[in-house]
Amino acid sequence: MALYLTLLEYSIAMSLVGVVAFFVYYLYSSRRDALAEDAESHDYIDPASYARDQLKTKQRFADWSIFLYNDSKSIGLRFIFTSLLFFFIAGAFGILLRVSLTVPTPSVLSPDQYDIVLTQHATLMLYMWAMGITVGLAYYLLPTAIKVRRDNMGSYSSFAYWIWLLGGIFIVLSRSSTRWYFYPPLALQGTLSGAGADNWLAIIGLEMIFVAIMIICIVVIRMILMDRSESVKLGNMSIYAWSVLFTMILAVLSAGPVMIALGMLFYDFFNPIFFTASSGNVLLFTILFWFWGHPIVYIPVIPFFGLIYEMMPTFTGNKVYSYSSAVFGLGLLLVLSMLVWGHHLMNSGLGVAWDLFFSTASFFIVIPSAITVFNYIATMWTAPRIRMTTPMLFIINGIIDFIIGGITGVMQSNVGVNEIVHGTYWVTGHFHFIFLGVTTGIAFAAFYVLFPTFTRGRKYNERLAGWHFALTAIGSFIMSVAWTTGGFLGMPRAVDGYFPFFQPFQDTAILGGLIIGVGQLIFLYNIASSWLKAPSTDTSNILEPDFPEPSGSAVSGGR
Amino acid sequence: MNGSKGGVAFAVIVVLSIAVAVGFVISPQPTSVLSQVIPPNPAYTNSTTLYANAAGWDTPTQYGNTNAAIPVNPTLNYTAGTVVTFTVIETDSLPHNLYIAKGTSENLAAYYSVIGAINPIPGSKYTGEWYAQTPGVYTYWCQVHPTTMVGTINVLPANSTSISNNVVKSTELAPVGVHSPAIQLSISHAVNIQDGFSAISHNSLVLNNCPCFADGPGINWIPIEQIATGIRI
Repeated sequence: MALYLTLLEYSIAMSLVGVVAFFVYYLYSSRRDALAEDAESHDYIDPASYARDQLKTKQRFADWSIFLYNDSKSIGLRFIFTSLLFFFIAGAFGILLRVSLTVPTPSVLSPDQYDIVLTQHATLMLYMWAMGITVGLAYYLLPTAIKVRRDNMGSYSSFAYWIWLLGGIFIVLSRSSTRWYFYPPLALQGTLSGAGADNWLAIIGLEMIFVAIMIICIVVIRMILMDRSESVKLGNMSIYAWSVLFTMILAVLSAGPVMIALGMLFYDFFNPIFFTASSGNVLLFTILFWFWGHPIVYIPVIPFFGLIYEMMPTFTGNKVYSYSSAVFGLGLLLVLSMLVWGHHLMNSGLGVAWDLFFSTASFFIVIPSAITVFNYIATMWTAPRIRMTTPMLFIINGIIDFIIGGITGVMQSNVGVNEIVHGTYWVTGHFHFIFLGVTTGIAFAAFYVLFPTFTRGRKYNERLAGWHFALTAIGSFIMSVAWTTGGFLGMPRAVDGYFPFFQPFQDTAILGGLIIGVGQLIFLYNIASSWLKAPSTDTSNILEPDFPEPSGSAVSGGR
Repeated sequence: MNGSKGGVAFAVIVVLSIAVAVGFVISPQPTSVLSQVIPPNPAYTNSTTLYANAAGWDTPTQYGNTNAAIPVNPTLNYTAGTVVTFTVIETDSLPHNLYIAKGTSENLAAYYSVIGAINPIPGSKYTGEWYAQTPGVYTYWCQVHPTTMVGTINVLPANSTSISNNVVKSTELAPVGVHSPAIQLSISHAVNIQDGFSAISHNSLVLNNCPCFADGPGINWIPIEQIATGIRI
């Protein structure tokens, strides 16, 4: 009987999926026919090229049609809103982690559940939220920033979006419990309760995400270097375009080893010959992984440095203090971040010489970081007047968080200190200072700036946005400070329990986490309620300045 | 309307996705792999060595089998309360694993994964512990070769007198002959191990095509294991 019921449920579910798919196809098909007629009347052979040429530098609004068009701005909106969705999902996992640590022994979540939720939080936040919002903003803002002449790689980008989304869903479905490293002896084993029995699915999902990232990188690099308007020289290209260029080059350079490593790891599920525990090759995987694993924490940060440079002058009323040093600093960050991956492996026996090399290289990261921060400070210092709007508050908070997170990072790049703090919440605190302050905070700032455009001219509620900022900033500060302090005293990270001695630090972190959670609920409510109101402002924004169509340089795909 | 419901739609999608994702991720895991707590001080301990071969599980003693060219799937007998340390040695370059389920047949719905995937290089050796807790009939098998590599385990009550003669409690078993303790094997009529062992011809030792087992006529298991360990990568 139960079997029949299951079959019935499956049939109904599949039918519903089919109905939805048919409806989407109907929309797509009717839209395509209308587009084909329109394109033909404009002497276009290819309707898609016509659509992209019509849409390429225009503002796009967030509606369901973004899933039907393949112009860069539609792709960007897809990435922005999907990554925002995954931000809320992964954030819920993060809150769950905090709540489960109310008492020293695991109570709310079983140890296996804790491990799964931890892995999901980390993997989704990095690959779906941080990477997604980075890519989404790049796709959305770059066509305007560099005044693209043509926009004809949309099909590749659309493909990349779908396999990126599918990869994220695979990661959730895998219920993996290996943390985001997927270190082999653990990744190849199922835990006793089955958490990790489907690790292979997570490996496939991750590989799909990497393929998507590669496609995106090539498309975006090509867009910046080859499809740029002739009126935009490299020398006066916007700093944001520079930062995206650096980021994409960084991703292309560093993602290869880990893609190979994941392929070998996937093979190991069926025929374990590469990363078996009996061989020493498990360390090889960590090296291949961290060759990407360090750049991945810069990839979602560098574009947001660029975004700060783009947004800050609007609120300070002057120009960026030094354009050339800004570009130089971000470029130096690109070079140095390729050389410091070993500082994640200082305690794995690389040897003193290598440890010292990576330690020194990590100290050098201070130089570009300081250039960037002092550039921000100088810009604000020389401002006639600073308008403290919500985006500007996020920017200032991001700079402060980056300074604290940077200093905690520099401290642990000392080999001796690293030996003590590398397995503790110190690292977690350092990481969350930067990712909550810079990546997430600046992404929120950009989202607030772009909100009137996304919603066809609706204003967000300033009061709720202020609460969102305050709760996010204060909550993340409380949480990260509790982690760094407790971590320096030896509180181990990534475990489902803790010694009762650390109770105050965990309680403080729980408080901070809950404050952040409430802030994001306010954010979500603000999106929904503000969108319901009537349009009350124009759709222009500071990140998408109007410019006359570049004349004489249009290369129309398909015409 | 002008798309004014977009934010609400997004919020609904977010809330539903959170509910589905969180509910899915922390829902009860598939319990196909049974968990087992290995007691630190068991009543009995035992070490069993099995040679993994796609044609069937092979044992060094191969009770009653004078022709090792035909591998056997020995019936293993343990006293309830024994912690068995299985040692699986690869012989044929194919992936194997060792699962144990209660009952007379393979049961993937509830099984113990004693040894997961092993490195398919001849001679590589893997160990896994299994606690023979409850008396009854069990089945051990290799999930890669479930039709050929399958055998029976009898876990007998500790106070069983009727067939206690067939049971060797490893704690009582002195090293037999030239066996190293690592390959003591509790099988039926274990008292005959000596006889069966002496009856084994040299050929019986040449397991499969692995040249490392082709030692001289002097039957000595210990060097074989050392060789097997030595070529492990």
